[in-house]
Amino acid sequence: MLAVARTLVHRDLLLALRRRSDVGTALLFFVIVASLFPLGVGAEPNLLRAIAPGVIWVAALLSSMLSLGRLFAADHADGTLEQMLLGAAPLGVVAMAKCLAHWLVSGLPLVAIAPFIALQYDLAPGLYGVLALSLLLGTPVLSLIGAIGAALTLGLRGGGVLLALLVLPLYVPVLILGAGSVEMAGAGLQPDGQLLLLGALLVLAAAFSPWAIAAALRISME
Amino acid sequence: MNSNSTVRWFWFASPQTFFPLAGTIARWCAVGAALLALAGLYVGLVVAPTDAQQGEVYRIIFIHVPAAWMSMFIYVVMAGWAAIGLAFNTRLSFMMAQALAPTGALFTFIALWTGSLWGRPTWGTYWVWDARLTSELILLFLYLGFMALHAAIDDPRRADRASALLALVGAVNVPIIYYSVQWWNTLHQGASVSLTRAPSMAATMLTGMLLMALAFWAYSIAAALVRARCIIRERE
Amino acid sequence: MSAGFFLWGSYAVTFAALALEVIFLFRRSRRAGPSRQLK
Repeated sequence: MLAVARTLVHRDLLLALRRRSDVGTALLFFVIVASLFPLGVGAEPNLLRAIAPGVIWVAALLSSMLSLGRLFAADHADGTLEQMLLGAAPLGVVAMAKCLAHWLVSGLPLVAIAPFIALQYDLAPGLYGVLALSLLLGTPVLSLIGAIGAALTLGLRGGGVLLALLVLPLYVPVLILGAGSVEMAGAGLQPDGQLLLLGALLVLAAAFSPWAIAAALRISME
Repeated sequence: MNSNSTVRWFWFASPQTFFPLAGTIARWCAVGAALLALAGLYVGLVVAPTDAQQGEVYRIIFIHVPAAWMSMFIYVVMAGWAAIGLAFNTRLSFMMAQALAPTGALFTFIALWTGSLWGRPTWGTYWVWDARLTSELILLFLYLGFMALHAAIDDPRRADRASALLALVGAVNVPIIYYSVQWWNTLHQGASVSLTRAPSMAATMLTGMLLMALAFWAYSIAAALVRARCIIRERE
Repeated sequence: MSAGFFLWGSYAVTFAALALEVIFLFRRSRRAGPSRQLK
C-alpha cells in the first residue's frame, strides 16, 4: 500500500513538473493578491503590520482554492481516475497520495514565499517563524478539505466558483487559527494554543478527509 | 417476523405512501403554527414587560433567537436525512433534505436580518461581528452551497448524493466553525458586544421565545412537507 | 430612527419573508401539476 502511495505521489509530482506554468500561476496569484491590499488600504506601516497575518492567510486560502481544480481534473479527463476507482488500491490511499502531492506543489511553496510577502508588510522579524509554522500546519488542511470539494464538483460547469462557495466556509477555522497565531505572537503572547489546535485540525483532516474524498469520488463518477 | 418489521419500517419510505401522510401532517402543522405564533406574539408584544436597559427594541429577541435556533436545528435534521439517504439509499430521505434546505436558509437570513436591526439601536452599528451572527453568516453560506451544488448537477441521483455528502461534511464542521469564531470573537471584541447576552430573562420573556420557537418549528415542518410533496410530484 | 422603526422593520421583514416562502411554495405546487395520480 505504501508502494502504491509512493508511486502515485511520484507520478503526480512528475505531472506537475511537466505543467510547471499551472503550478506557478497559483503561486503568482498568492503574491499578486497579497500585493493588492496595500494598494487598496494605503501604505501606512502600522496598518500593514496589523493586517499582514490576515492578508497573507486569506491570500493563501484563495491561492490554495484556485489550484484545487487541478487535483482531479486531468485524471478525470483522460480516464485515469476511473482506473483508480476500479483498481486494487483503496481509494482513500489514492486520495491521500494525491493530496500530499498537491500540497507539496501548491501549499509548501506558500510557506517559502510567505516571508517575502511579510517583508512587504514590514512584519516584525520575530513573527516569521510563527507565520511559517502556522502555514506549514494549515496548508495541508486546506488541501485535504479542498479535495473533498474538488471531488464533489468534478466535471461540473461553473466548477471553479462553485468550489469556492462550497469550500471557503469550511476553511474559516483554519484561517482564524492561522492568522490568530501570528497576531497572538505579535501581541507578545504565546501562540502555542492556536498552533496546537491547528495541529489537531491537521490530524482530524488527515484521518477523516480521505474517507470523504473517496466517497465523493464514487458519487461523482458513478 | 423479521421481514414484516422491515417492511413496516420502510413503509413510509416510499414516496407513494408518504405523499398523503405528508399532506395531512402539513395541514395540522400549518394550523398549529398560526395558533402558536399568535400566542407567542401576544406574549412577546403585549404581556412581556418593557426592558429596563433596552426599552422596547429588545422585543426583536422573540424573532431573532427562535429563528437562530431553527436555522441550526433544521441544518442538523437536514444532515440527518442526508446521512440516512447515503446509508440506506432511500430516495425520499434525499428529497426531505432538499425540502428542508430553503426553509433553513430563510430562517438563517431572518436571524441575520433581525440581529442586524437589533444591533443598530443597541450597539450603534448594523453589523456586529459577534460569535453568533458570524456563525449564522457562515451557516447561511453552508445552506446556499448545499442548494447550489444540487442545482449544478444534472443527474438527480448524483445531485442528491453529492449534496448529501456536503451536508454531512458541513455538519461535522459547524461545531468547529462555531468554537473557532467564538474564540476569535472573545479575542477581538472583548466583553463589550454580545447579542447573545439578552436582558436577564423574565419568565414571560422565556415563554414568548419558546412559543415563537414552537411556532417556527411547526411552520418549518409544514413548509418542508409541502415542498417535499412538490419534489415528489416533479420527479415521479 | 426610533425603536419602533427597528422593531417593526424586524417583524415586518420576517413575516413578509415567511409569506413569500408560502406564496412561492403554492406557485411551485400549482406548477408541479395535479396530485390526483398520487393521492
